Amino acid sequence: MKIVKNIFLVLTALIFGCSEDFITKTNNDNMGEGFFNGGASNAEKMVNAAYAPLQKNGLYCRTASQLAQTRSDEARITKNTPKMQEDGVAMGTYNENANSQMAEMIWRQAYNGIFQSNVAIDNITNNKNIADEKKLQFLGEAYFLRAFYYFHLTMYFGEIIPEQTNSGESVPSPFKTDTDVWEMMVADLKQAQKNFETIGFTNAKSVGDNLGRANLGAATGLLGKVYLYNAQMKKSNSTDMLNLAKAEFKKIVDQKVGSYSLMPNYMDNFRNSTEYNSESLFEIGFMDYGTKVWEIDQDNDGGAETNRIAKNATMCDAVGEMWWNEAPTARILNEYETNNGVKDFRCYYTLWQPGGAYFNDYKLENEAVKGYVVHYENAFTDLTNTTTKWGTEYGDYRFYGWRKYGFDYNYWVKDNIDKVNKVGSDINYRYMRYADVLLMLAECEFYTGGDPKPMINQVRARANNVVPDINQSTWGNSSLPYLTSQGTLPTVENSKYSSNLEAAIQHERMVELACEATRYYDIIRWNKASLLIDLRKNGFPKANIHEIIIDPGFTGNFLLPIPQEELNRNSNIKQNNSN
Amino acid sequence: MKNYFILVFLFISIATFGQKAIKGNIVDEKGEPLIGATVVVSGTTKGTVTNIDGHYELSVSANDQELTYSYIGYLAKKILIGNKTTINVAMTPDQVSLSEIVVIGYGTTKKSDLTSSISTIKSEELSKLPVTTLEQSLQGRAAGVTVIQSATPGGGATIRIRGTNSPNGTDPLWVVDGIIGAQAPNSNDVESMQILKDAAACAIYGSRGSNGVIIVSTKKGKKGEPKMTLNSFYGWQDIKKNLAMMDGNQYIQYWQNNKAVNNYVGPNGEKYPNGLSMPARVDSALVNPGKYNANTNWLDQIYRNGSIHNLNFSISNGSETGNYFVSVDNKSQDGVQVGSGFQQTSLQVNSELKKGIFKIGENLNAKQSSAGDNGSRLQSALRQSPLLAVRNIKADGEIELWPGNTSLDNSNNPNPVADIMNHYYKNVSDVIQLAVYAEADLFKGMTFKSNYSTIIANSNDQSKGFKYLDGQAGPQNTTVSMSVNSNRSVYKQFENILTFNRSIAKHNIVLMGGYTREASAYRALNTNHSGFNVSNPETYASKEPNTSDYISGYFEETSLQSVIARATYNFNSRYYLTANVRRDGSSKFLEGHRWSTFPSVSLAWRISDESFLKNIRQIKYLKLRASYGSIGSQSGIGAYNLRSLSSSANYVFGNSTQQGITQGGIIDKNLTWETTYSSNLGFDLELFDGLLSLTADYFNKNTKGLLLNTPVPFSAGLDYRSSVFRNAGDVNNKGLEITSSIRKKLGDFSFDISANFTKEKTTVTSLIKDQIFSGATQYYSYLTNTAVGHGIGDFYGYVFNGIYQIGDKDILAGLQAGDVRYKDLNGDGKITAEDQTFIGKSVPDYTFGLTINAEWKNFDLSIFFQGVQGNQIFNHNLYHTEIFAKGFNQSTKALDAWRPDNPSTTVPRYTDQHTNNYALPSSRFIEDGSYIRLQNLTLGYTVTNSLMSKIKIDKLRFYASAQNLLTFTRYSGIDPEVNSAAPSWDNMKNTFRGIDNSLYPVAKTYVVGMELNF
Repeated sequence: MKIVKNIFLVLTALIFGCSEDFITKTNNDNMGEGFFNGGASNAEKMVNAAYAPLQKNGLYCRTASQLAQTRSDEARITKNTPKMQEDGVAMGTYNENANSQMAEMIWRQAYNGIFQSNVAIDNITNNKNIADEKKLQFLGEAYFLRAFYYFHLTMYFGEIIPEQTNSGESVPSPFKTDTDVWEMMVADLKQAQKNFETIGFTNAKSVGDNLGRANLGAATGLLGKVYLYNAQMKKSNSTDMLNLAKAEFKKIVDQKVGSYSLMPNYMDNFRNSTEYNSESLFEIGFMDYGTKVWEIDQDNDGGAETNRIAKNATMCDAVGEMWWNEAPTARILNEYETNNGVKDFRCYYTLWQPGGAYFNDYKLENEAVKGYVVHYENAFTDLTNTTTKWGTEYGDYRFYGWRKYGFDYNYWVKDNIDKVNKVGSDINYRYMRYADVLLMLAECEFYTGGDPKPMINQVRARANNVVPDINQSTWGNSSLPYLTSQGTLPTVENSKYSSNLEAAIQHERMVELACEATRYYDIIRWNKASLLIDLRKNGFPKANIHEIIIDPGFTGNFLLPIPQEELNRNSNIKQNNSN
Repeated sequence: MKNYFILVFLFISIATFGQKAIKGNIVDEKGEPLIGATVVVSGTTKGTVTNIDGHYELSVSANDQELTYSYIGYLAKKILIGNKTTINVAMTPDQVSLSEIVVIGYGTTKKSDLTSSISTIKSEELSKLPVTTLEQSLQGRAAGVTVIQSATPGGGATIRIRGTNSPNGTDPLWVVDGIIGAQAPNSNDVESMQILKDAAACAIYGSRGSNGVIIVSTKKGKKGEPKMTLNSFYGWQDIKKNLAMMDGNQYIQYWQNNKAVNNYVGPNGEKYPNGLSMPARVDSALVNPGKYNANTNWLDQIYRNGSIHNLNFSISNGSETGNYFVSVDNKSQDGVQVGSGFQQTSLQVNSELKKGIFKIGENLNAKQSSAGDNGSRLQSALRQSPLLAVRNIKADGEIELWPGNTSLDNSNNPNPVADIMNHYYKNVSDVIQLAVYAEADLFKGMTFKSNYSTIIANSNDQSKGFKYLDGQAGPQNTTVSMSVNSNRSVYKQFENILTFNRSIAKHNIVLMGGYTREASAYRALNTNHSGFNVSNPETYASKEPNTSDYISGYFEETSLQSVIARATYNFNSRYYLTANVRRDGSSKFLEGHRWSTFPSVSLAWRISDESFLKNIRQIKYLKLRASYGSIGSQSGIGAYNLRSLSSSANYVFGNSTQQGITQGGIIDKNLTWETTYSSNLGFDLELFDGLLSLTADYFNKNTKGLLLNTPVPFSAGLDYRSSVFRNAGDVNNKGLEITSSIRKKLGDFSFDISANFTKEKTTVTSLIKDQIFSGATQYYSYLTNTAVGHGIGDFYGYVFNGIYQIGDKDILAGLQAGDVRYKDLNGDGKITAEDQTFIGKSVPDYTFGLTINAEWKNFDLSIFFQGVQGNQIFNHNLYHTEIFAKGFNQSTKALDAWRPDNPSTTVPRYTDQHTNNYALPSSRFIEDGSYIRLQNLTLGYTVTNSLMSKIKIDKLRFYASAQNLLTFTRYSGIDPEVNSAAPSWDNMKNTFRGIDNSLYPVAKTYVVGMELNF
């Protein structure tokens, strides 16, 4: 046969010319085949893609916040609607199983983030067409993101999860020991830090189109957080880890890795107009897509997404198409201190509540108030009216709304009426801000014998600041103290927590960072499963409080099960010891 | 197989006396010399064969009285010697099948010389069948060929040759007049079709031929008077509406039953909660049925009597210097579903010129077709509430898309009539297929042929929304959107073939070698624009551009080049050997993996010519055949699957979206060709001078390294694109094909009966890590799976085990009496995914066809049965009509649903909370799909009288025909022939087979027609 073959090849070559070219076709669609070996602008696009999963449905578009909030004690799941939300209910009540679509989505999209980070790392590392400075920046970002995704996966699914080390791997094997994933995150973040440090890529440099890119401050903050979580979640060697964490947080506070400070106004952390401010270490970027949101955010067309926390939990139901998948509990409402008859201002910034801020609802039927501000009892009629389905379903309990990450008042003016039914907002999700860093540093100080009070007091002092003059008339009763004079929160040594600084830190984190997807992880790392179980067993004081629903058999394991579909497709992976 | 023939040997000793020489020439009917014709002294083994000039010389003795002249395909002649010394003989062709010329890849051969497995269908068989597509005419005609017709107007059919050997698309390759991958021409224009089945036959087409090849030759003009033919038929179509849906009164009764259950309180105070929530309109109808019950039969509303029409005219002629054939054809069909239809006009032009050693010709097929809105609306017709009127009187007689109202009817089911009438949809396509060739007889036996072919296809479809498009009973749209999608594909093929044909003594040799190249380009442009005025659906005039407008496009190119070679040799037309080799290079694979070589070999032994069988008069012909070969496949892989595809993933930085690009997938760098190794054993037998013929083949195909887009773990990071092409498994197909026919003429009466039978079994023999490949899905559940030890896309689900009754101890948590009980296969006390199993298969064990043709004087009768046995159907319609979803209409079985006072039933209780119970894929929805169908019954009358010959009419025949006339089946759906289409993006097409999901129903067709030749 070989002879015949050769004869014909020779014959063909003689008669028709060598024709390997004839069967060489290049794909000129998309970006072309040479794209991945291209120069800096191509490399930047690869890095941009590594960010994209951050804003997908399984992560900070919606699920990351809903999951963290409803599995903690600050909010609860409220509604039982279609398939997707059955999963949400299961998550919020610790009843999820390995077939949970929501868990699968988180898993898929976080690994997608890792893959896309790896694509960038694999193709940029040895690429000679990119100037060194750009190369260091891009790789720094990709390493940061890879660690960021692994960190989330570890928190959700545990430490023995698939390790995807390069972008061509079709069946990844798991990390071998329960410390490997932590070591990998630390290594990636140190690499990122080193790169950013070399080129001085701090928040002073990440401006303009670079706003939102991971920089030295972000890498340092996340590294500190990884050390801190590691210290608390793995009992061994925790002091060393805490010291490592402290060192990282101190770099931030000492302005070694950028210039950071608390914003004068607490609300600036949750507004569209004040994104990427001096308090912000890392944000997930979202944008306003007008009325086209559903068409562009299908999670598979590469389009950037909008933040759906607003739709999920902060808009008033009268606006229509409100999902109300979750609602804050009285537990969080009651956590805010009252001093001299004045409540912690942050309570009003965080929650829609009786006597709180007004909501401008253009869609209200009542012509008299249409287009004007209304207060909680009017706007949240469903939630407050015991004769509606909410009342029937949940008895006498009252619900509150998240105001944090809600739309600015100005959103609901007549010109924007088309957007009323939109599903998301343009407000960036602040993943880590300076106040969080201060409180984490306080925690490190506390557990290593230092003094946490100065940091706690900084945060408390800022909370007393008056809301500046932004549409004050919409902020409810204009005589409310937070609009007129400084708050009255005392320093921690003069507060009721003076004798228990651990409780002080825990309290401060709960109220300062409510609705920011941190409470849940705090509960986990503080090993406070008992807190949730207590709540489950004893309930809150009966008056207008609702229970957190946790299965009575809950044993304090917070892990989500590894998706069944992954187990079906990857025989290297075993189920974790989730419930 | 036992051989019942008694072999008798006669030994004749020959006494030799005086000798004399006899010589002569043997020619065929045209006077051309016959090479290798046999001359023997009758009753002896003494003889010779003719040389290349057809000349022979033989010495005979004085005792020899008679000579027998024979040649394959010609009737034997016996001539007395007497005193002659020169005997010239003109042989007459034998009219029986063995002398047929069979077109094989890049050449022809006589059927009797075949070594591989090929079925042939001739134009005479085709012309008897009034069908609109050639594909349909293949059904039940050839063993090993499975055809599932598509009922959609203008729709083709799914054809599988020797089973399904991959979950990918496994359509056979069509080669029309040498154009590879061409569309089938009109059946009236077809001279013959050959179906190449085993590897030895298909291997010359290499990677293109791995699923079998259908070679079609269109007609050529013949010598003599110019011929004209006119064929025309007109037909009516209707469907069986045998789905027993509830009428308005039954629907009300059904809700009354439900209400009774909702309010039921047993003797011990027990209740059966979670019944259906009553739609508001039903509540009103219970009080005032006259006002709220329009009693609409939605099936009657969307189905009508269809019509079908075909007109074909051709003219042809030929001479020593050339020939031509020109045909025009027009088809039109108004489908049985309101608003559906198809129209096509086509032209076939074939001509050939001869001069000296050259022959130049072309085959041109051009057609223009248009199709209406042919998407099936059966599902929404089944679901729609009979209480609702088709037209809402209040809306000025307009047809509302949403006649109901979500809150009044618990349903957002569209009005199927409005869905058709209020939209505008049209597909227009033009296809040109052209082959131009030149042939030269270089020197004796050596021919060179160069062939250039192209297929150009343009398709354009437009759809335009109309009033009520977007809202549910909402306000009229003043403007609507239109999408226009057009695509163009261009295929080019260039072939150069050298053939050498020589017989030396008893050695007959044909050598063929050549080079071919093919290139395809495909481009598509999709646009969507809103802002059109509703008044005229055809106009393009619109308002300004809108934010939701878009244009997107696509372009791809592929190419393939091959060198081919074949050697055929036979000794004395008794021992045959054919060897093929083809080497393919494809642009789809990566450099270094592009080329692959596929050899095959086949042997045949014409055993009936051996001396020990020669004198058994009953056995006219017996040939044993064996073949083995390999064929590669690259089907299922896209043009750029192995290229670095990019995928976009944008992100917001600052306050703007920045472009993000990442790798579009993972590439398996070890990917190689999928290869099918196929062996075939068979025999051809003719008994009693052609009265009975029998062909049987056993085949065994092993397809290795299936090219499958296999799921990869999500941890590989591809998100929703979690699959990668891999050589993922092996499949075995084996089976038996038997074709038999009897023909007899008794005075004015003649008949032939032919039957074919195929038994086939497909088994997946290995898969990557014994993984199960999920197929078609519905309601988040897989309906089919592909696993080792099973077929491709076998049905997969739970085992229905009756209904829970009051007092049952084993009712699972969350369920109650009246819910469905499934078998707990693993006995863990729960019903989980592990309790699923294989519950049926869509591939039949047996397929068969039976054709009876009879002629008596001027009448001809043709009866054609075909059927399948041993397959199941997933009756997905039951998902719509027996699970009480929302306010949907139900089958009358819903009246017999489980109630506390109606416990003996297999229909579960009224509830819409069925996600984890009723709606699970289970054996409840599986039905026997076997059927026998009287596919065609035709009665014809040919007019003969003296006037006819005066006006030079050769033939005038009228006929009446019925298709799909009778179907014997136990299947409860509209029709057991279920051609379920997989979504176009799904490359696991064969896993969707056998799922009856509200398809466009197969119609009965009654036809009257005329054939006129003059």
